[in-house]
Amino acid sequence: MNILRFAVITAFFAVLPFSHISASAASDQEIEALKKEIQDMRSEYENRILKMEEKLAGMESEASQAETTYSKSKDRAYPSRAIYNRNLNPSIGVILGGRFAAFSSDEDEIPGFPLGHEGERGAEGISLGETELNFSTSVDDKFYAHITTALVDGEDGVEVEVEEAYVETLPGFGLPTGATIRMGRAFWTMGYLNEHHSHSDDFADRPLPYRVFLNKAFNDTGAQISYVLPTEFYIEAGGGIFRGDDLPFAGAEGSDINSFSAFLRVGGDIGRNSAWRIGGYLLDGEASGRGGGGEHGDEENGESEEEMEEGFEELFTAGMFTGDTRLYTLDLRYVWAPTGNARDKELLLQGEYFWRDEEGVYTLVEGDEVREERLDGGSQGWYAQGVFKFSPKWRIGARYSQIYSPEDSGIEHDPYAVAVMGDWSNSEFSRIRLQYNHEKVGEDLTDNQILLQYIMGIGAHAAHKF
Amino acid sequence: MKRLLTFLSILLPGLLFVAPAFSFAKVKVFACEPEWAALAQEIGGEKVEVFAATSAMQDPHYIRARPSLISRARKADLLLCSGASLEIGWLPILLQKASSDLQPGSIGYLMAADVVTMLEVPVVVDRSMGDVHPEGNPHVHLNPYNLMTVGKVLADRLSGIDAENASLYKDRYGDFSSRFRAAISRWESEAAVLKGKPVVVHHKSFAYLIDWLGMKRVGTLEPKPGIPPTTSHLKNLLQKLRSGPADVIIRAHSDPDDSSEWLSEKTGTRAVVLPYTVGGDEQSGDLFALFDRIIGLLRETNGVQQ
Repeated sequence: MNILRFAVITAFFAVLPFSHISASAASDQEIEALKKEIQDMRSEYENRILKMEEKLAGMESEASQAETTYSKSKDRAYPSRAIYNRNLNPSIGVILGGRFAAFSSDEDEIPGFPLGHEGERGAEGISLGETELNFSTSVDDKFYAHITTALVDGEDGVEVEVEEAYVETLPGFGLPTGATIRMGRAFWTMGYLNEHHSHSDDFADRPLPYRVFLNKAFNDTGAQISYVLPTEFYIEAGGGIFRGDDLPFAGAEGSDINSFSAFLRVGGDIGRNSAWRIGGYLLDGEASGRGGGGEHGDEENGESEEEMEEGFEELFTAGMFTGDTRLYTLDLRYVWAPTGNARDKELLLQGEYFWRDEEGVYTLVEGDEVREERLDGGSQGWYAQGVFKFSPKWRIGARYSQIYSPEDSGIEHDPYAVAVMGDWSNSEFSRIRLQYNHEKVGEDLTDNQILLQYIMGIGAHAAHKF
Repeated sequence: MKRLLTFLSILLPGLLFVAPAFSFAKVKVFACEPEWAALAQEIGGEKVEVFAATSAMQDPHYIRARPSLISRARKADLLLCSGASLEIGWLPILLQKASSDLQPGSIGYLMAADVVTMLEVPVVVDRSMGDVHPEGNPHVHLNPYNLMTVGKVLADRLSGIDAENASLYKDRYGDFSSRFRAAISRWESEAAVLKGKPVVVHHKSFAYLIDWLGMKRVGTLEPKPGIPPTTSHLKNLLQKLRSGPADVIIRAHSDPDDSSEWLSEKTGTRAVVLPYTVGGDEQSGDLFALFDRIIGLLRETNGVQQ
């Protein structure tokens, strides 16, 4: 710009001396005409220069604004090339959790239902919950990847669990619109809670049927396809194939695909205020040697190695099941908010029903006696809960869960649990919850529990799932 | 193997459901907010079928990825949203099941924040600052010039998706922009009295309006964006307003009324509920009516006779 401005000025002054020379030989009239012409030229150029100067000033101020915005990066003592690679990092989210728990009963077994480790009620006292690390991003134009690892304060120090590690097809993959395939390990589509990470639950613990039937959640290794139909109404159908190693299955060997799932769910809105979804799910597979009692021995009692091994054996064999398992699940969720504005008030109602049908052999160890029992029958369970957000930060909720002992188990009592909770969320990223549980899991087994927990999320914004 | 066969026998009939790609009669526009639905209707007219995912009574951030929204987005040909992370909680879930033409960078993915000049772009972002958007304030539609900018891009996109009617979209945009431009100059002259007037807002959702009309924001009821008003913050604000009073306290219909009414009572400053978007109240039926109403209400609080 400066060069142009200089050129214009030079040209203008270059014209001046010439006009002066020619003027001496010309008549007054011609001089007047020339003078006028020069005047015109001058004013024209002046105008142009003025405009250019204005333009220049505008550009300069823009440039200086840009400079102040970026000055932070330019002010480095040793200027280096920006690391653009950083922009391609996956989005990262970390969930921190901790809790205090007090239980009135020392017994954490549920008679008739051997529990997996995850299905137990958890540690008493102050404990660090799961610290969850989430990474996710598109791999390329066709795939998306997600990893969730959990750091858990276990009995042998910190344990790392791969909760989820899956790749999923992106719409660019070329499947029909609405269809996706997910491969790896994930919280598969199976009822309402199973798909969700426990930190997004409305209660501090999972309801009884989740604890006994799914060991908190089904996250086997496998693949699943799901398809949202092009209908007016929301209809999603899908199914998966799995290795068959996670509860309710166990002991997968060889190349067989030991379990599969299928599901169908529909949903919609009712006016502006409410929405609903109903789903039916089937999970079918084989269990060979599904153990109860968990994978962890009792080391705290200072047992000798032999004793510990015996202990292990007992834990593994008590209530070990080999056979076919089929789990049918129905879920229903209903969400209401005045004018659909969930920011200030919201009511969440949710329920799930489970029916487990098993055919096989239960190996039971009672003292020195090893007993085998044929099992052909079902057990059921359900829960229903309601959560009400009555102000932007406060919510209260209640839950009732019940499981029915297997028909031929000889156990009369059907375990049930009642939970009430209140929680406070300062923002979408922090929540503190107080919960009271009353569990009656056996004839003489009553457990009153107080749970106080915090859940905080940093990094990537969590999804507002339905 | 038997299991696998059972599985396939269930799955395969399902896959046959895959619908053939019909050539569409109308372009299906999925608008995240009502203002964009109204704009799409202005530009597309009869040739588009517009769905508004949220209403004026809802805070567009706090929306769940409801089944109905997933199903609507799955069938959409064009997505028109505010962008700048306003819909970050639910839009990514919808996009998973939407067509590849609706993905970021595709013709059917149009975020207003990507095409207009953003206000309040933070240099440093941190969650302790509240719900700040790294891309800037996402409530861009309350500056009518932004609507024209988005409208022009929208007309281009519609022409690309539905080439047969390309000239119709161009004409409709031309017609809309000339009518809207005339309206803007009318609104600007009507709002000249409001220039420089101090205002208090509930949330920063009216930033573009305040910027356009040259008003001055002297306080927000929320201590930080997205954090509900606290007693201590309101008391501080009250102190501040006692020394330098504001002209009006503005909130949207989706904002709770208690804090602004309390402050209004304490200071004697009028609290006014402005329609934040189309359908915000009975009088704000379309984009023209929306600004008519907003300017009318603001003039009224300033004692200007209609």
